[in-house]
Formats: sequence, C-alpha cells, structure tokens
Amino acid sequence: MTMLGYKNCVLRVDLTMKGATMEPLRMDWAEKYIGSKGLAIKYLYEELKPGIDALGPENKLMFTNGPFTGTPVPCSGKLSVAAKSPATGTINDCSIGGHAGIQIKYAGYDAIIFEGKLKEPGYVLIEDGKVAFKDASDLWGLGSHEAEKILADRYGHDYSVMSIGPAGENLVTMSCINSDYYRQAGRGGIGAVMGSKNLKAIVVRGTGGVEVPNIVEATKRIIEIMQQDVLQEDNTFIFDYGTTAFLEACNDGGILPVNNFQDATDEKWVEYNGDVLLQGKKGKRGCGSCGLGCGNFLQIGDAICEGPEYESIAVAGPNAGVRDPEAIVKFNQVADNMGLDTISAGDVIIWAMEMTEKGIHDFGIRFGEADKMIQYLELMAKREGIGADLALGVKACAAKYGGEDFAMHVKGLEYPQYEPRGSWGMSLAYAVSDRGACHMRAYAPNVEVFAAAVPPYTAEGKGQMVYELAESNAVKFSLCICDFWGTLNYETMAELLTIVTGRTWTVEEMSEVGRRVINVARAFNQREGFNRKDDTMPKRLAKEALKSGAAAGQSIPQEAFEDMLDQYYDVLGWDRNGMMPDELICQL
Amino acid sequence: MKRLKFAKEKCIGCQLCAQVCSGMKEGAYIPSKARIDIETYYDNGNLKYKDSYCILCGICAKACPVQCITLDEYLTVDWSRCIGCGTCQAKCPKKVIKIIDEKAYICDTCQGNPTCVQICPQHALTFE
Repeated sequence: MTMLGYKNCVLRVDLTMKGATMEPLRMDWAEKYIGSKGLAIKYLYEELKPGIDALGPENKLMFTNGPFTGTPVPCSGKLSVAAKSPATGTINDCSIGGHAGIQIKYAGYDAIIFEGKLKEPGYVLIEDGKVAFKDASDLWGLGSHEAEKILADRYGHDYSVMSIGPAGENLVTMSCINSDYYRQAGRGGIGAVMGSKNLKAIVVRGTGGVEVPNIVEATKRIIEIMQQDVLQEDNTFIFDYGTTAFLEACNDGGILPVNNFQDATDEKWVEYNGDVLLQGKKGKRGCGSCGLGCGNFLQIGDAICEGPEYESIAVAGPNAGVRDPEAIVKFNQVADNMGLDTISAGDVIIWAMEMTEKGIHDFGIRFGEADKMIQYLELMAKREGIGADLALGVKACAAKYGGEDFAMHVKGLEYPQYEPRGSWGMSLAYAVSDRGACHMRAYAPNVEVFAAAVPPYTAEGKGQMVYELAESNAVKFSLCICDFWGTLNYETMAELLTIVTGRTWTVEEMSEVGRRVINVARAFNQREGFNRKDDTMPKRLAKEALKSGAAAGQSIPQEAFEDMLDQYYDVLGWDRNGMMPDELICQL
Repeated sequence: MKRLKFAKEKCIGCQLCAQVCSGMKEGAYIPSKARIDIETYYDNGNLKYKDSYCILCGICAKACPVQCITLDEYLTVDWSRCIGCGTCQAKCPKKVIKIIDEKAYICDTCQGNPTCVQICPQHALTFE
C-alpha cells in the first residue's frame, strides 16, 4: 500500500559508472521496518553479499531518512548512514544530526544508496532530481571542516554538506562523516567506507516537500505533542546543558571512567564540568525539526566546537587523565576536522597511555599529556609515525603489543564512556549491540544509575531490561527520532506514525518493529560469522574491582555476565550460542 | 497591532516555523514555499542567522502598483488582482515575500494567530 510521509523513491548512485537511477521504495519493507535504521539494515541485509570487504567497492553506503523527516514531528531531523563496518565486520548504522536528512527528503528521496567506487576523488552534488559528479582533487587531503567551508562558499548555505577528513580518505577504521561542521555519523569507520569509494563529500539541496493526510489537523496535533510531551523538564535539560549534564550524574553514580577505565569517579570533575565549558558559549544550535536544541556552540581559548558531548569530554578528560577544558574542546575540534570518531580515537590513545605507563610497550604518551594526545589525532588520521599503529584500533593494537585485558572494545569497536562495573546492564548492552560497543542501542545507566529504578550491581533481570531498552531504541531510531526525546512512548510513536502516513499503526506494531530490527541486524551479523564468542566484555571488568566512588569494590564476575547473555538470548528466542533459529530468520 | 518578534539568541535553527507555515498554507511541509525563513548556519567559525519574517511594515502594500495588498491587523493579498510583478518582493526589507506562479506569497500572521509562534519550541518567535 502507499503511505504518505514517504517520497516513495530511492536514489541509487553508481559511482563506478557515474550514473544515478531512481526506483520505488520497497514499501513492503517500509511497513515492516518503517525507515532510517531498520530500513537501512534490511536493504543491506538483502543487497550485500556475505563476507565482502567492507572497504571494497561491493560495500554500499546508504543514507536513509524516515516518514517523519521534513515534517514538524519534533526531534525528527536525523539521518541514518549505514554500511558494513570495516572496524567490526558487522552491520553499522550511524545517526547524524544537522539538516542533511531533511534536504535529502525535500530533494525527493527516502534513501540514497552509493555503490561502487569513483576512479578519482570526487564529490556528488544532488539538487532535487539532478545528480552531478564533481572533481574533488582540490578538496582531497583537506580537513573535513575546511572542505565543508569551501563547498559552503561554492554553493551557499542553503545546501547541506556531508564530508570526510583525512582519516576517511586514508581508510582509518575509526573515521567519521561530518555535516554542519559539528555533527557526525561517528562510529564503526563509516567515514572509511565513504573514503574507500573516493567520495570526499555529498552536497545536497532539496526544494520539494512532504505531504501528509489532513495537514492542518496534523500540524495542530503535532504542536500539542511538542508543548505537552517534548517540552517538559525530563527532556529540556538537554537545551540548558547539552550532554555535559551527564558528567555530574555519571561521577556521582560511579560510572565516569578514569585513566582508561582503571577507576570510575574523579574528584576533579568540577574542573571540566558543563558550567565551566559553557562559559565559552557563543550560541545554540539544534538539528532541523528539533524542539530541544542540544548543541552548544562554544569557544575556549583558540578551541571551538559544538558540544563538547559527554563522550568526548570523558574520553579526552578524566579517562585520559586530563582536566583542562580547552584541551578537551581542542581534542574534539581536531578529531572532527581530521574526521576521526572521538570515542574510538580517544580510547586507543588512552590505552596507549596505560601501555606506556605499565611498561608493556612505549607509545611515547602518558596520562595527562593533553598536547600529545591532540597531536596523535593527526598522526592517526594520516597513518604517520606512531599513528600508523594506533589507527588500527585498540583490538588490533592489543593483538600486536599485548594489554588485551584492558583493551576496551567489543568486536573491535571501542568502548563508550559509561563504566559497566557501576551499571552491570551496560556490559550486556555493549556486548549484544549490533555494531560492537555502542551506548545508543540500550542505555542501561538511565535505569540502573540515574533513575535508580533497578539495582545496578546484579545480573538479575538484566536480559529483559536491556532487551526492552534496545527494542524501544530500535523502533525510535527507525522512526528517525532523536534519543533526547526521552519521554517518547509507543503510544505517541504509533499516533504520530498514523497521523503522518495515513495508515493506522498500533502500539503492538511498534514493539514488533523494534524486535524485528534487532533481529535483522543480528541475522546480518550471524551471516558474517558472529555468535556468542563475539558477545564479550573486556577482561578488566571481571578481573579488577573499582577502587573509588559509588561503585567502589564492584567488578562483574564472568558467570554473571554469561548469565545476562543467556537471559538476553532467551528473551529473543535465540539459542545459547546466540544464534537466531531459521524460523525467526524467515520472518524478517 | 501585534507583530512577529524574533529573539535570535533563543533560536536553535530548527526551521519548524517554515515547516508549519507551509503546512498550513500550502498543503505540504515545503519550506521553499513558506512565508517565513529563519535559519542559522556556521560561517568562518561564527554562528550566523538568517531572519526573514514579516514585520508588518506595510511597505509592500504601499508599493503595490495594482493595490492588491492591504494592511489592516494583518496583510491580505487579493490574488485575483495580483499580477506577480515582484515590486513587493523587491521592496520588502526583510526579503520574506516570494513570487510563485506569478502570485505574491506574503505572511498574514495566520490572521492574527501565527502557527510559527505556536510551534517555536524555544520561544524565539513571539507575537506581541
């Protein structure tokens, strides 16, 4: 059936042949996966051959929005960017903010799929129905911010730019894609996939629109939902503080990592807390269609960024033994411009700091050396000197030099900055996430630490808890709605989807979509050879107890972790090896 | 007379104003046809603002060669008389008027109850 809200059009770009075709959206898949995350994974599950090289021309880079994109449904301005990950070998869908997703929708597309590889570095210009292939020899080698500036000057600010930095060009498997300068599709080396296609940038402008049924009534109801649901205190803290608000909560809860996850509380946290960072605030910016506006554009000394986000503060701050706000912002700025994921790049540097301090291998950097940490980013992006090793990521580096017990990753994706020994469910969430250690698939601290609704230091009930969090996020991100609309429930999701598409959606269907999205991602990974042996936690979490803070004395016994895995697999109907049975695969 | 007011320090650049404007007036969420255009963007390390919205100055009404625009509590365009000459667009100090299919698209503040103000999540837009 046809549903409004969609453009019913997929743009398929053949970079090898420099051609583009339009085809109808698989509406039967849209009914099962809605859009964005779920739809991208379904397309890639169907279209990618198992075992392909993620950096080869046979990988596909998919940009997918959703039925809400370009409508005033609050917090709907994001865009999924998906491909097979060169960092992990799993499926990898990233979510990028800014305005590019809306431009793609207004240009007439629910999704754009890039296939093949340009012979020479180039960028693709999309203006409504027109697709042009442009030379990027003048942009290749430039930082992502510098490239975006040139393209913004060339085309004007009505265009959205998505670009990679030197890291993506050099196929560094922790490279990101930037848009609006300060927004990233960050994780899993999605920028390297773009770089492997010789694609420096995508420039897009759309002048069309989105139709929904009964638009006047729809608009009035959306305004009510904005006022009554979105703009309440549980959500609006993000406007005031951005994700810096999590620093105090994580420190109090004993989950703020220090010195490469050796401890999880920092008595000096006030030195780089949000109120210090925000003294340099120059302005506020959110994504298109946002109600909340999390972005703080700020400057400290010479360092500029939008954010910095909690993840970047934690990894370049306490987890690196650094307390200097300017250094944290500079780290963020340089990583963005080089096109590196702050989480993964930070994690490999702090692992190298610990390796050096323990005398296992001298990487020439120790905790607290902020200037060197920032210099290393550029070396990693360009694979020069010490950076050539570190650019391999913490898993490969540990395989080469040792220190595997404290190489903080799952499946080769480095750890986000929430210490699981103070929030046991998070060890499970990282382990079973569809792309390795990701905090966006199921966010356990919200329940275990911030709300204190569930005891944090036990395995009991964590399989069901993590599943419920993961199901909710899977459907939310398939609707292409931002995580920060934290009060959004299935009733409102179903109501909004009904308003926008004209097809009646139920609460039960929201739950079913969430489960299906988790399953299709697992099916993709299972086909690539992943199973229980890959759903791991770093050995440090079992072997070493935290020394200080609210979770002092806590470690996660391996048996408790295995118990949580069993529970999670049981909830999903997977076997004890974490394998999905054929009857579930057939339903995808 | 109530007018739109814009406090740029509160604006997050969401463009919801243009989306709902076009939704109410054009039957689709299509900001390229909206009668308001407020955006933010980065340029040379600075956050810049584009603030095209009607301030009810009435210059368009005075300039119209066929007198099809009238200003009362809000602006009204008589499209049966509009010839799409673009004089109003050229004179508009806020560059908010569009000529589409030879007709002038001018904000009428939703006849005194602007939808853009209702949705503006951070109250950057007010009507006072």
